[in-house]
Amino acid sequence: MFKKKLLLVLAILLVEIIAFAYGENNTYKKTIENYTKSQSTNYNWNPFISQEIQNLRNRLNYSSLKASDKKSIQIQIDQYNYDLQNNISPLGTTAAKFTGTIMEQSVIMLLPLLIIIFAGDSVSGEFSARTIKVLLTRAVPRWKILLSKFIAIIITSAIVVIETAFISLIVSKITFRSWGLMEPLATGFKVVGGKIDASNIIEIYQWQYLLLVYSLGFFIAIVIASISFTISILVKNTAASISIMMAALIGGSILQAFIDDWPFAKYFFSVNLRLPQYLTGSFKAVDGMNLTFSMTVLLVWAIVALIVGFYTFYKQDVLV
Amino acid sequence: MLKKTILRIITLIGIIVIIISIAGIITSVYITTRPTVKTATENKSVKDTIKNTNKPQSNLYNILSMGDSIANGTGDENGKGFADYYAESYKKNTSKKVNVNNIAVNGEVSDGLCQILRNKQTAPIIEGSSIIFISIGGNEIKQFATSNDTTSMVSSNNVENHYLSNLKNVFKIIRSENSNCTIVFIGLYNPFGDELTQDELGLLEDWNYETQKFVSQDSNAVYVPTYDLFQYNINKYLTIDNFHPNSQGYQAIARRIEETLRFH
Repeated sequence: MFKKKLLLVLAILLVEIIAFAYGENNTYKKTIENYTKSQSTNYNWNPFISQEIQNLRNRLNYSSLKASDKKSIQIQIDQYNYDLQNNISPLGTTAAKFTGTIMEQSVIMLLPLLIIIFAGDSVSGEFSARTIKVLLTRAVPRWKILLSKFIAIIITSAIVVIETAFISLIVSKITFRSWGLMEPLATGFKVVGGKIDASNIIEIYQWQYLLLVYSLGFFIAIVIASISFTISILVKNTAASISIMMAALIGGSILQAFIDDWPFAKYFFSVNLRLPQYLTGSFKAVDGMNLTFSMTVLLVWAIVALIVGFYTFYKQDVLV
Repeated sequence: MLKKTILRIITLIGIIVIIISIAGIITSVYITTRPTVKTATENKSVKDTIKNTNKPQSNLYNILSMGDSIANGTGDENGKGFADYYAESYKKNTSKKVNVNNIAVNGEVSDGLCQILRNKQTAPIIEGSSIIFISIGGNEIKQFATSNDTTSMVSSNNVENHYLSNLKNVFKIIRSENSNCTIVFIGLYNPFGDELTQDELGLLEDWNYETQKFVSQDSNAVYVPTYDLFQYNINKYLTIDNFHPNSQGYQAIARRIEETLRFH
């Protein structure tokens, strides 16, 4: 059963990632094609980039630039220089960029859904299959049974995250050809007074960024696993437990729209799933919401869920 | 046995991922929360520029280029622009140290240029310049050329009047900082070729004419036309975006400036 699910997840990831990579590549080719058609010259981005670097250097040399702007400009120049040296078209993408984007995008829906496939029926499945009786007749304390199930889910989550990384890397390497792991990028944004503050940004490499993003992805996987695990204990019905989790996830993305008018919404777990966005600085600044806040909210949800889950499982009568 | 090994491997991978992730999560939190470090480099380069451009000295020839992307040199494969080409050839005939300052901004309109000039940090640069190149207005008139509806001549007149009053301000500010420098205004060319309607062409010609009329009021300013220069050479002088000049185009503009100023 477990193996089948792992294969299923592998298949889902493979199909989706290949589709994304194809789409991305297609968009790129279309853009180039349109360009060639409208300008009746071949697309050659080298002069554009050299020019842009020159412009940025000029801007660095003059005018009342803030130190923070200077840093962003310097990182932009480094990026362009890297693109030039490695022949990476600025319109196109690299394996590293693509792999990062996959995790950035999938943390709100795809990754949680994949985790729910495992966590959603780990206990309720035993009830549905009526194997819970057999399990509980063993001379092992109930909490140990539950704990071993939870550990299994955490390890599975780790495998799913690793799988996502590897499949993305391999598929995108074949599609886009260049790795781009050493490409610099900017991170370290803060929210100060409701605005994104770039005064403290630092330059890191794509591979470092990938490690960070996938770590956050794994964190989200564990939180989702914990909540979904508890729901599967509470409802004892696989279909119901999976639906509840899906409703919560979809509800969360709808709630996101009301977050300005209804500040209380930011304490809901599925509103806080977009952790990687805090690294890239590409997020809507909401007062009081930053990486630490979101992670604390998620952590509290996970811990409370686990306590409730363990308590319920320990106390409940099993009459199957 | 085999099953056990596989399980062990999977557990091991899991543990490794957990360890890496904990490190990653801690790093992420650190990156987003670490205290702001005040950098002392702020304003340094501005000061450098000012230092270089103190008062027109006899052994220093400072060139200042301001305005839009043409003044900036956008489109030049060598990343230069007419100011740099002009400086290169000027260097050959002089023992002075030639310096180019470029404060042009891509996409700039006359409003923005006025703002830049009112900035206190610009004043010392203007003060120290021996010659100032201005290219502005292209982005304002471009809106008329690229929008298909030829919205009444009234609104185009408004834009033109607004532009001229801005230009007046630009000259006033420059002259209040520096009364001796030569001002060279680069006229507009037509990058669209035959695509322009007769009305639009008329607007462009009128725009250039009014500009020239205004520039000639200043005794130490000169209007350098580029319209004729590009008229039959669009294919040769424009870069791949079909709007900005390429390296050859900028060199042509620089040559024209040289010819104009040869006996100055």
